[in-house]
This record gives sequence, C-alpha cells and structure tokens, in this order.
Amino acid sequence: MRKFVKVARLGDQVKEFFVEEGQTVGSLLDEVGIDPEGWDLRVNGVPSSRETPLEDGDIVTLVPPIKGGI
Amino acid sequence: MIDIDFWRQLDIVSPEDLASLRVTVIGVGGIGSPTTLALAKMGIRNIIVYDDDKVEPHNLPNQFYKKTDLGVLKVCALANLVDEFANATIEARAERFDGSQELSGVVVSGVDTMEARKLIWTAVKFNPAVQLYVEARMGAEIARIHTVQPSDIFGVKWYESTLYTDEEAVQAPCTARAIIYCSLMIGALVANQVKKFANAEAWAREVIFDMMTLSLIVNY
Repeated sequence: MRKFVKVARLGDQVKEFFVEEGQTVGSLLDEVGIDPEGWDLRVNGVPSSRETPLEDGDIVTLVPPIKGGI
Repeated sequence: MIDIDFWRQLDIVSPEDLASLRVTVIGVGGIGSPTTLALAKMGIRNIIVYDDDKVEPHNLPNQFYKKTDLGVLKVCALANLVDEFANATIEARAERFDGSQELSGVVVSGVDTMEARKLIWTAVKFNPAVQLYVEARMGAEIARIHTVQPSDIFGVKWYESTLYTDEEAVQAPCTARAIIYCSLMIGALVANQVKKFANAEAWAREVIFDMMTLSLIVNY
C-alpha cells in the first residue's frame, strides 16, 4: 500500500510524496535529491535517522543548524 | 512610578508568581530585545541585561529599538523602552558577557554565535545558582528555543547534543538573517517558557518553528 508523507525543509518549502511500503527517510530523501547532511532529521517532531521507516501521514522535517541572534 | 494593573493576566500568571524571579538576558538584539520587553511587561521586575553593542540603522527593522536610539548602547536604549512600555527598571550592563560575571536565577541567551553560546553554557552548566537556562537561535524565518535546568544531568546531556560549531552552522546571507515577526515570536515563546517555569508548569525543552513553512515542533 502506498503511503502519503510530507517533507518539510525548514526555511524552504513543504512537499508531498507517495512512498512505497518499506521505504525509509533516507531512501525518500535520496529519491527526491535532498541531502540532509548536517541537518537534524525529525519524523513527526521526533529525532530520527535515515533508517527510520515511513508510515502513512508522516511529516519528515529537516531542521538546519542555525546560530543567529541578531 | 505608577502602579500597573495586571488584572487581565492574573489567572495566567500573576506578579506574585514572578516576584522571586531574577532573569539575566545576555544579548539584546533580535532575540533579547523583544524577550526583555515581554518579560518586563509580564511583570518580572528583576532583570539584568548584557550587551556592548550600539543601535545601528540595520537594527531598526528587526529589533525593538526606535530611531532616536541610533548610536545609543542597546542596553541603555532597552532600559528606557522598558521603563516606558512596562513601567519597570532593568539593570543595564554595557559589557559583553565573557564568563567572569556571576549568573543566577533564569538565564536567557540571545547571542549570535555558537562560540558565545558555549561560553555562556560553561558558566551555566551545573551552576547551582542558575535555575533555568533558555537559549534561542534564529536564522531567517526559523527559530530554535532550548530550555534546560543546568543541574539536571539528563537535561545537560541533551542540551549538549544540540550544540555544534559556528562552522557547522548554516550561515544565512547577510540579507536573510532576521525579520521582525520571527523576533517577536521568539520573545513570546521565551517569555512563555519563563512563565511556565514560574508557575511550575511543564515547559518544553525544545521548540522549533519556521514561519516559511509554518512548521512547529515541540518536545517536552
């Protein structure tokens, strides 16, 4: 069964995807050409990794390492 | 000085709940200026602010200063604003925090480098006088707010996992670093964390928001 997920790249945009059974965060990001190197990965707000399996309705968020305060 | 009537917020937080709080705000730019104002308007009366910068023209759009503050030390300008907007007095220290100053109570970090954050963290970590540490980061339309009790070993371990170097951080272009609605949102969220702490309510150790994608992540 295909699953519906959203990928939010903070500071950029939110995209929606259908993924196949067994697909992980990493395989989806590879497929859509997003390199998460150095960014925090979250699934539904919870710290995750490339190996985290995707479920229907998941929101994958990529959080950049920001440092400003000015 | 006139008496302020806090009637409209008494069932949210009362001045009595905040009376014993001492809050130190380090850095009063885009994060620290709206935060200090929110804390003072909320009713906190023991606030110390550190910063050695002066108000410059590029600060006016995204920091809580006005045109007559140009060229004035930010801490002095902020003290005047707090007096005017909140009928309160803050202790303005026109100096850069270098780790030698004593910290206590609630410490809010609004600095703009990871190096400065690490310096503050060194002064805060396991410091028995510091009850709560609230550290905010801003980049374009994104903000991250971390809240930890420096005496909590698990909190300390978690917070340190959020630190990275300035080189590892994403450096937004000079023209995409700050915007007023993000600053106001950070001020509101930091003040809310402090209110939760004062009321012994559950505060979030991590709040991340992005105005660009309208994403919000909250972890307790």
